[in-house]
Amino acid sequence: MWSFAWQNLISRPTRTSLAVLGLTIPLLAFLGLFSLSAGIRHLMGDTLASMHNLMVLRENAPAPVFSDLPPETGGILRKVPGVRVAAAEVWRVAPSINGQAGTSLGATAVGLLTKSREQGIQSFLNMIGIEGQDIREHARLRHPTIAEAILPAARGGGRMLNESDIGKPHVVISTKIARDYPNADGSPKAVGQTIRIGTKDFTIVGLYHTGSLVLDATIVMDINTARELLALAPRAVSTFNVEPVNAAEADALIERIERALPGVRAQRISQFSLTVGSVMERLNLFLLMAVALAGLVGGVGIANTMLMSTSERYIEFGVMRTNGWTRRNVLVLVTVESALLGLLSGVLGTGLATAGVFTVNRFLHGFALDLNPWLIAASLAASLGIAMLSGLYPAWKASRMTPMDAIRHSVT
Amino acid sequence: MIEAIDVHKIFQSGEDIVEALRGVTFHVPAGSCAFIVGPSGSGKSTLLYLLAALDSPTSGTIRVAGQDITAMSESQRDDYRRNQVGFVYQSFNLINNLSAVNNVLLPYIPTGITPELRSKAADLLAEIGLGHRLKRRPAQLSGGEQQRVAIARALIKDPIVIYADEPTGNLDRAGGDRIIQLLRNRQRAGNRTLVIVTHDRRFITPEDLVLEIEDGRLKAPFSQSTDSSGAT
Repeated sequence: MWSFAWQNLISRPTRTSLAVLGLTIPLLAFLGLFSLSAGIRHLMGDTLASMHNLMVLRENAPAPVFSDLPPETGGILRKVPGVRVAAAEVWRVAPSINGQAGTSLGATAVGLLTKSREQGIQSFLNMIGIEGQDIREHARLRHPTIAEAILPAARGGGRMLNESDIGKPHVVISTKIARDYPNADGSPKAVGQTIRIGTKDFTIVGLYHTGSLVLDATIVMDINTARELLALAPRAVSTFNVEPVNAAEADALIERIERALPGVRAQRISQFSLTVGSVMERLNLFLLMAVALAGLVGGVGIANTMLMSTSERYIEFGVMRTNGWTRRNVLVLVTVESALLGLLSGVLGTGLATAGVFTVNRFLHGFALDLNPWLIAASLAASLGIAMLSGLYPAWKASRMTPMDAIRHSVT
Repeated sequence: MIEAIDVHKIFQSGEDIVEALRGVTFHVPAGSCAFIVGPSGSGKSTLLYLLAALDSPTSGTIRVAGQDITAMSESQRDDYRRNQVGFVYQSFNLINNLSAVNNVLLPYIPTGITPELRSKAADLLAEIGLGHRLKRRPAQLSGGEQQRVAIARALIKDPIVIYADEPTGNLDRAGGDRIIQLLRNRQRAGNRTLVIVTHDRRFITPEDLVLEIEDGRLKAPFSQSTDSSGAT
């Protein structure tokens, strides 16, 4: 039956190809968009999710770069029971780097809205943040994320900032920044070399790599150096990195901090990954609706193809019935033909998507589209399901043909 | 073998009512060859379709090998057509996407084609002179060859009865002669019953039973040889 159904499809190559293409395109859209969404979720979520400390920032500030806290916050925080370390930080978007115009928040937003999709995403990926750390307090953290991500000495990793760097133009940068803002000869920046931020030169003392899109876009320096560079008030603070005495009691500590400091929000740093996840879920829902519409169009294409095919073959179906084929046999034949169309679309769509993702990922640094096996299995199943559903009516119509239909039509 | 009792067939299209068969009664003995003849529109093809269970009579009874095919359910009729009847169309009606051998195997596609069946189909085609054309598509065969494939398709089931609807209608004279000869040989070899609708009386021999239909009625029954067909 499968072989016969296949023969029927390949005997009409143009029509079959168009029907397959009609379903392949929505599948490609499905896989492309969802692998992008999964890639973003993966990248934003993984590193953040592994961080156990709390972040204290201004209530309603959507991100650290938008947060400003009163100078006295640190003193109050340290008195809250359960706080082991409260390390002050300033966060801002970096000005120009190496003379290249900085990608400010505004410029990024404008880029996302006005430039092409690729340029917009690129401007988002290129946004660099400045993190000024209270070096003494950060040194007390049990799991300082950047310090733990410094490359080994054998790979030229250098060191994390220490007290000798306080007040000095010293920075720790990620390997991504080192690569994106190279030397004049194109080689990546290395420890001991300088990088120009705004109008000042900074000496690179360490190189790190976390693998996170967010964290690897950060230049770390002393908090006072950062305040001076960013023209902030001498005691300005954006956030506090708070380490609980007991990580298991973090929820209770959050409550105590928010009670002690009205207008301040405390949350687990890992919570940012949940926020990202929630945003991505909403985005996924939107994408699913858009792709479902395209899938519907593909399904209508298959229904149309199968209807044309079956109405051209009433003599054949009548001959089959004359030779003992039951209605069910005819129904199965046409449904198998539809299923084959769906399977072809699925294989072509997932094949093209896999090749596309592989190719695109070769040109992306620090970010990768994530085409996981579940996504491939879901798209194959969806393709098969859409095609079989679309073929049901034509199959039912074909199964109603009687032997006399063959005779009447072959006589006329 | 084949027994028709007071068979009527009425077609209705809107307000138009056409009485194609008006009380036909006859008997065709097993292993015999019967020709249904008559002018165009007389109802001869309609009668053949009723005998092959391709259509149902408005009233009357048809028995084939003791089975009342007019009382069968749809699945029983499918079964009857699949296992007991070979049907040959005037216009061959081969499936264009299938090779000659696969056209012969058409009845078995839903149930699965075994190597034995494939071998049987190839042998059958070889016996009727198409052993070198097994993999040809219908479009690559002449009209006579296509009709021979259609006959092989009817024979693969080892039917107890073969019905042929104007099987020479689309062939030249020599080709028509060969097809009728082939059908007769197969009928005799398998001791099958053969019923042929034709308007060409030159194929009829004295041993054959002739059912002459005119205006939906069976004319005076006769056999070319004995004039004692049993038809009424």
